[in-house]
Amino acid sequence: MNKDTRKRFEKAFRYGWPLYFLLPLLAGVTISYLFAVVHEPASYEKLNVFVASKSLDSVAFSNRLEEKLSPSGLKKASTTQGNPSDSLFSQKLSVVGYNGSDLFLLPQSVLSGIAAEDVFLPFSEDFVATHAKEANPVYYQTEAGVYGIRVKAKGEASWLSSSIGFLDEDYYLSLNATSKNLGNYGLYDNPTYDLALQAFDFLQGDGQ
Amino acid sequence: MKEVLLVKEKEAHYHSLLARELLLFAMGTTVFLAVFLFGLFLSSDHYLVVMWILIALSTLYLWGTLLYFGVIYPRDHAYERFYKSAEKGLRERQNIVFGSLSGDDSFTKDGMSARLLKGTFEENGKVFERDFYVLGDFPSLEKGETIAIESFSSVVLSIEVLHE
Repeated sequence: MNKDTRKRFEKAFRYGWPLYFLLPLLAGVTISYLFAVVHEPASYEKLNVFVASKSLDSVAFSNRLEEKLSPSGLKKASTTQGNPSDSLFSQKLSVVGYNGSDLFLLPQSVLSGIAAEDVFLPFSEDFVATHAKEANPVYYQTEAGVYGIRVKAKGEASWLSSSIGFLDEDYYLSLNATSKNLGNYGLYDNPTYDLALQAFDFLQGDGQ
Repeated sequence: MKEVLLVKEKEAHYHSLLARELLLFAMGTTVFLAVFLFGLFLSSDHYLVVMWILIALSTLYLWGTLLYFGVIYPRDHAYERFYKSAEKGLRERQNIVFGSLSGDDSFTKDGMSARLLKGTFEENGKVFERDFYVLGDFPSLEKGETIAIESFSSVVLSIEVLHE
């Protein structure tokens, strides 16, 4: 930069210095947003679990799920938590949960208050034979069919208790019928995208 | 008269300089965009390092763009515009008594850095002051020397020493 250019730059900088800071800042925010959008995992590479509980250590829970299922192609696990005693819980469940979650971990009291057949995947005999891990599983059943499998009994401990503040009730695991990660069981014919089924199996187990 | 400003050559010089600068800027922009798009779309899911490199590159690009379009381009464009006008416009010729010439080009004339030449001329028995602007080299003159100046928009183009 020669003397004349430097002199002119110093004069221009005196008046326009905010631009020299704001533009890179704006660029940084835009670039990080673009990266987040471009590298957002596809719907068959991510899972969301809706948990109705008093509390939830979302990071620990998601990390555990990612550790377990990343070899199968899971890139991002996330959670949505709602406390059933909150006034907005039912709206959160129907708006965020039904539209975005792949799996639901719900207590008996919540399940009995909703029309499970409208949202959850009905467990077929084939499904039960393949994915029920306990010898004598307990199901959440309505007149329309089976929609959940018990993963934690009232008063009993569970490996999930380390990250979830369970209510003192039976908890059931259900699958969203509109999830794209249900293999051949859901609305979509995509047998290779079965992360929700793998997570379903994993959450029924002992955390290993 | 002795030309102190070679208008035609200067006009050609600034014309090609502007074209070269704009071409360089366009090439830089193309390279930047190519690197940016490659980095954005071909990076792996662990993109943090690439993202910070691109943010740094974007910062440099934006600063460069601000410097170019805020300082360099307006200056060079001002020179080109002046020389283009000086080539075609009406020139003024005036005899003055040389007074002084500033040492540095800290004066600004239509966006150009210039030295200030002070002189006087007589008209109807009255003496008036007259300022001219000097771009580039200028012969050394003694105070009180009478010179004829050919100028455009008060910028000295040619001079001739008449007598003391």
